[in-house]
Amino acid sequence: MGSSPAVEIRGLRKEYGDTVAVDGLDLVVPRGATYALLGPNGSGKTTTIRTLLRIQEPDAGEVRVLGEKPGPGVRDRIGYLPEERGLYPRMKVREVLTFLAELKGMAPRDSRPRIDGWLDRVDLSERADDRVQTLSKGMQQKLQFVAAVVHEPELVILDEPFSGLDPINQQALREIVAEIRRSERTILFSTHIIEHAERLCDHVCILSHGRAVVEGEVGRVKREHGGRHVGLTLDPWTPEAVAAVRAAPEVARVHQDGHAIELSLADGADPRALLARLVQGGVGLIRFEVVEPSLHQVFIERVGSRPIEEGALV
Amino acid sequence: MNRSRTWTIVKREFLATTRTKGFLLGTLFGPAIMAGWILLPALFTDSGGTRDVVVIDGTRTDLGEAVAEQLTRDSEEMAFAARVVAPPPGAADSVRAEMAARTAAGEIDGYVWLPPGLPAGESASYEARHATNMREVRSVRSAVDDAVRQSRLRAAGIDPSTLSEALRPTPFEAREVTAEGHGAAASGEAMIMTAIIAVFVIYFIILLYGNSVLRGVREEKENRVVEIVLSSIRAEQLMAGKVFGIGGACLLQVAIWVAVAALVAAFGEDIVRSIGGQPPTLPNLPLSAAFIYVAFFAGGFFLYASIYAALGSLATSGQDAQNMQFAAMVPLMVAFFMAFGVMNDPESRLAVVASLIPFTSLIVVPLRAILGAIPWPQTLLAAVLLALTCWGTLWIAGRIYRVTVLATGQRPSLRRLWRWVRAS
Repeated sequence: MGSSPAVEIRGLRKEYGDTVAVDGLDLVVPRGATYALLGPNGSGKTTTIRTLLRIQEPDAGEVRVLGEKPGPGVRDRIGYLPEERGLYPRMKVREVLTFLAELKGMAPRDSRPRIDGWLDRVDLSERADDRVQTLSKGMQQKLQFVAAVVHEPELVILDEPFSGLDPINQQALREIVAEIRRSERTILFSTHIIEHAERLCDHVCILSHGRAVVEGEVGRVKREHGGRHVGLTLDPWTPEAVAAVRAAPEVARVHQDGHAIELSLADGADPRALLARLVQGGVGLIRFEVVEPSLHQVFIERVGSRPIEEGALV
Repeated sequence: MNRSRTWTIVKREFLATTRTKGFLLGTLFGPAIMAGWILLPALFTDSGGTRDVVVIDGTRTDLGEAVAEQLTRDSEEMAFAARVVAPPPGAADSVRAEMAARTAAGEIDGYVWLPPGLPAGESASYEARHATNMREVRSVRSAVDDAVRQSRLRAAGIDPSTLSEALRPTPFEAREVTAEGHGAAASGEAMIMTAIIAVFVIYFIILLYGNSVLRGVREEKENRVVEIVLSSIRAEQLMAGKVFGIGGACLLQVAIWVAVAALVAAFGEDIVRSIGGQPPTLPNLPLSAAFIYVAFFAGGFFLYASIYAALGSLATSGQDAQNMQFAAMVPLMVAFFMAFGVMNDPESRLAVVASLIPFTSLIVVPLRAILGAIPWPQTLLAAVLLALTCWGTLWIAGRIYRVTVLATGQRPSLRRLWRWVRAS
């Protein structure tokens, strides 16, 4: 049982009326992985997660979670932080955590010490007897995160966990995620921010229109799907030099960030031929290196240049 | 295992409902109304003491004596001490002025002025310190009226006692016959009063707590807490927990009311007598009727609460929820108004049909049981039909809840909703 993948999805399909939210999705999340579901809004991430938790039933396909069909038998072994957060505003902090832990099968006497430990960990001990509605939005988010992990689940599903958090709390949350990762539990992480996926995850699935366009271990995905890339720095930087780079037949796409330029090579193009062409053309270079593509570039290669969300491409 | 998770929801909903100020006020409200019903009339009966009045008889007949006699006769309404002053001709105005001054000084409570033209139709008057006291004025008016009427009868050669004997009302009592025997006199009227109160309680409690279920579902949906809860339990469990939790709070409140009513029935008469009041006739309610009342009340609550829960999950905004609320109110209002038709004839065809329709039986069956007008086979059939409908409604509502509670945006059409429910 322990050797089965944490999540296994085959041919998942889910429609809402005339809209296809998930369209024949296949993916495998290995045990102990930190797995990113990456995709634009509306690409099917949340629907996929809800299917794993059996909050929604699939129209077709097969889903197994921790070796079992989604349902009562496996729910207690999963922790879930939904994207759209909310708690009972009139309940007290400790009370709401006790209630949610009880729904996961923990008796109040067992959950109490763990709840106190977690509240201490996220600096909410002093607010334990306050009503949820008196907490700030960031505090409520931390509280909900605690609710997702307090019963020590084997699989932690975090849907956009960093949205709405200030940088300090983002860092605190990243550290807790790293700690969960070290305890060899599986983290399934849905995000539309590529940097988070790249920094925290070892596996990735890029979703587009309800389908997995790329899926697997991050390094392999980059190698196999990112194309070949060259990073270069111009000196002196002139518009003519940039134009010469763009016009080279070996170059397929150019991504410019100040004086640094990253470019994707055209199919079959030799980076040495490009270097020779630029030097012969009088372009001043102080850096020319073949680089591993970023997930961002993989995304652009596989999904297109449509931004995931305004401001999300970093 | 699953049952214990539903129990967790039941506990939360029960505590969330009973810990509110509204619940406390509502719980006190019932006993306050009952106390008011029993005690206030008793207190009013005793208010004011004996009125000391003077009858100024300007008619120069025996009308003044007759009025005084009528006033001082034993009355349940109010006690008077009256004496007659017959002013000599031309002195009436000065006597009236003197009595007005004595009234203002508080030496007497007031005076009745019988003008010379009273037998011919001139208006009598009562000038007093408490002339706005309805019962006091009613007593004086009635005394003057009776005295003048008797005087006219005598003038017409009719003996007032003969007429009074002929017009004496025939005694009539409505007694409820129960398995235990005959009830007290007037228990039939008390029973009808009880039935009316019982109908009101069912109607308002279901309306109140049904709305509370709808509001709770809508709030969970709006603040998105529902998603985290649904990652641990099925939607049907959440809905059932909510309905039973809020239902439990509702039953607790009604149980407190019933307990207070039982205490009132047991000790109310003694308490009212001890403060010198006249106790109202209390109904002789058979235990079986109380049992039927509680059973149909609970069944009806779960029936309507599950409908309210499903409607709450469909609502996409506050305005939408209000419209939904109205949709659920319609059958309940029909049942409520039907109850008054049934009360006129509790064994009519309307009564039988309304007893077998579960959406109306929750009110009509307990009503007929209180009035002692429903045979046991009908009660049992109505109970089975209500239980089956309850189960079916909980099932369908659970499905609707599951497919709609996470939906946002436009509300689905009925056709699409039915497709979702069948597919889920």
